[in-house]
Amino acid sequence: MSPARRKDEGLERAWKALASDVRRDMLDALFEGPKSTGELGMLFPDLTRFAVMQHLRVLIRAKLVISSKKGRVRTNILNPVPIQMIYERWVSKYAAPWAGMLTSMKDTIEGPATPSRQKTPQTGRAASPRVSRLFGAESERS
Amino acid sequence: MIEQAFSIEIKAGIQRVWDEITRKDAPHHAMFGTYLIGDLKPGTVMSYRDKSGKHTFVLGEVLEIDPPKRLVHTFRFSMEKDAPTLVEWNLAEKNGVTTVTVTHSRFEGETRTYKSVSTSWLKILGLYKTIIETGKVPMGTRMQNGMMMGMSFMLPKGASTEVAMQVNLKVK
Repeated sequence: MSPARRKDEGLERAWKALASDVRRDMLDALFEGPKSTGELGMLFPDLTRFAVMQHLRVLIRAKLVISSKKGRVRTNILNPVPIQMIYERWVSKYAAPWAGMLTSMKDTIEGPATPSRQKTPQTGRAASPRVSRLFGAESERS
Repeated sequence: MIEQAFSIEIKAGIQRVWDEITRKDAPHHAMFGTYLIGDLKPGTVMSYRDKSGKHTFVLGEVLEIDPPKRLVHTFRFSMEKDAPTLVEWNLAEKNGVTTVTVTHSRFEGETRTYKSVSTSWLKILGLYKTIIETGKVPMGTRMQNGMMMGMSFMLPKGASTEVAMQVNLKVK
C-alpha cells in the first residue's frame, strides 16, 4: 500500500458519512450552531428519532460531529477539521492552478499590490485590521 | 449557545502531543510563531508573545491543568475589544493515536474573535499535527510567521504586552 493511500484511511469514514444527503443536511444545520439531539430531530420531521440518532452516530464516528453531554442534554457540535483535511488533500490540489491563474491575472490588471501600499504611508492604527486579519485568516498556502 | 469545537487525530503518544502544545523552549510555529509564556498553573496568566516579549497576541488565565490530558484557560485577543472567552484542550490517546479536541466557548455573540478563531483553530490544529507527525514546519508557514513578526511595528497599542496585561481576563 502506498503512503498516499494510507494517509487517506483516516478520512474513509468522513467520505462515507458525507455520501448521504440527510447527513449533509445535518451538518448544514450544525454549521448554524451546536444543537441537542432533540433540536436536531425537530429539524428533520420526516425522520424517526431512531433514524436521527443513527445518522448522528455515523457523523460522530466519522469525527464530523463532536458530541458532549452536559447535565442531561447531549450537545452536538460540528467539527470542521475532517472537511478541511478533505479540502486540503483533494480540492485545493485541483483548484490551486485555477486560483493561481486568476490571482496573477488580477495582479496584471490591477498592478502589483506592494508599490501602491508603499505610496500611502500607514499609521499603526490603519494597518491593524490587516495584521489581525493575517493573524486570524486562513491561507491557501498553509 | 455559541460554541465552536475542533477535533483532530495525531499519530503520536499523548505525552509527545502535550509537550508540543505546552512547550516553552521553542516558538509555536503552529501558533503563528509565537512563544508561550507562563507557569501554566491555575490562577496564572499564560500568553503567546513575540520573541522580544514586547508584543502579546493572545492571553488568558489558566483555570485548570491536568497534564497530559486537559488544559482550560480564558482567551482574549489583545488586538480585539471582545470580552474574554473560554478555551478547553482535551487530549486522549488510543492505540498510539492522540485525539486533540479544542472547545472554544463563551463568545458574546458572533464577535470578531468568534469569526477569526474559526479559521485559526483549523489551521493551528492542522499545523500541530504536521509538525508532530513529520517533525518539520512547512516552508509557507515559516515564511508567513516571519512576515507577521516583521510587521510587528505596525501592531496596535493593544498588542503591547504592557497594555495587554492590564486588561481583565475573567470570563463572565
